[in-house]
Amino acid sequence: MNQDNALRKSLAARTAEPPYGFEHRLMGRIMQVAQARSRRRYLYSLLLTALVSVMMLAGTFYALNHYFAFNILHLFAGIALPKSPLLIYCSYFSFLILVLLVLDYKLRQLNAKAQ
Amino acid sequence: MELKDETQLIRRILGGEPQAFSVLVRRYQRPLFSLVGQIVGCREDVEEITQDIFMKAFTKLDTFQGGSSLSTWLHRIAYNTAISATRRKKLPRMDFDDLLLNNIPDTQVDEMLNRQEDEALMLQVEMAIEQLPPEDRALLSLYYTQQKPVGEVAAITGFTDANVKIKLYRIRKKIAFLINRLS
Repeated sequence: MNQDNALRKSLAARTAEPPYGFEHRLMGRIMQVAQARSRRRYLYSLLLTALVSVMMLAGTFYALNHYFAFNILHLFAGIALPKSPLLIYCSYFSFLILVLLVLDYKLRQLNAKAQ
Repeated sequence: MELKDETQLIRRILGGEPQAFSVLVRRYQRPLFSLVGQIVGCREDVEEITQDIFMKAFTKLDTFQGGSSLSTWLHRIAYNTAISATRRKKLPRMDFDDLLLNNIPDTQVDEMLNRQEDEALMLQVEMAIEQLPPEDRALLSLYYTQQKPVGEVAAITGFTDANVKIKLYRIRKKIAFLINRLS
């Protein structure tokens, strides 16, 4: 059965070859999937970190309040925010810095994508 | 050596280096393209299906246990995907009468399938292959074109070794039957 030369030759004649650029197109799709996957992983880890942080904070508050009879909220209630107009300026500059930092992050991302 | 190399490659891909997958693409694109080409036939669909096969392999790479070789695993994905694609198309299938196939003597089949210098016969063999069911064309491609041993063909297709041998024997008879009908 192993001979069957006519059959082998006919099968060889029907054999299809990958077209030009096949690997490039395929790797493009693969990289897209990989990027989406890593973005998803990053988001999950971020969510998990946030969740664990909230749980730890809640645990700390609960432990302080329940076992040490120390209500930390009373501490915050005692802090009076200054009523001077300087607070508005501080808030404005903080907001501006935040906007600039976000912009910087986004532009860096765009630049990396372009390169 | 290749097995160790492929294990390292898989580890790199799963470790966050997707560009290493291109090594596997380069290594397996020809045999998979050839297999899908034999099964599907339609050239336009072959590239799309082969791309889907590699995408499936990439997304499911973490499920590869190493129980078989990577080549067998990839060929199994290719076989199942291509066969499913042909089933979705619901192409008409030719039924072969067992009695008619059994009436063809083995010597005639041997003689027919070995006459490679006869151009007209070669054309008839090609036309006969075209009329075979996709599963049969897959077996021919794996056994004759890619020269895989019966055991590996069985692992790829999900048949037993004995079943693969019987199917190959019957496929040869089917081709001889179709050639007789064509001439």
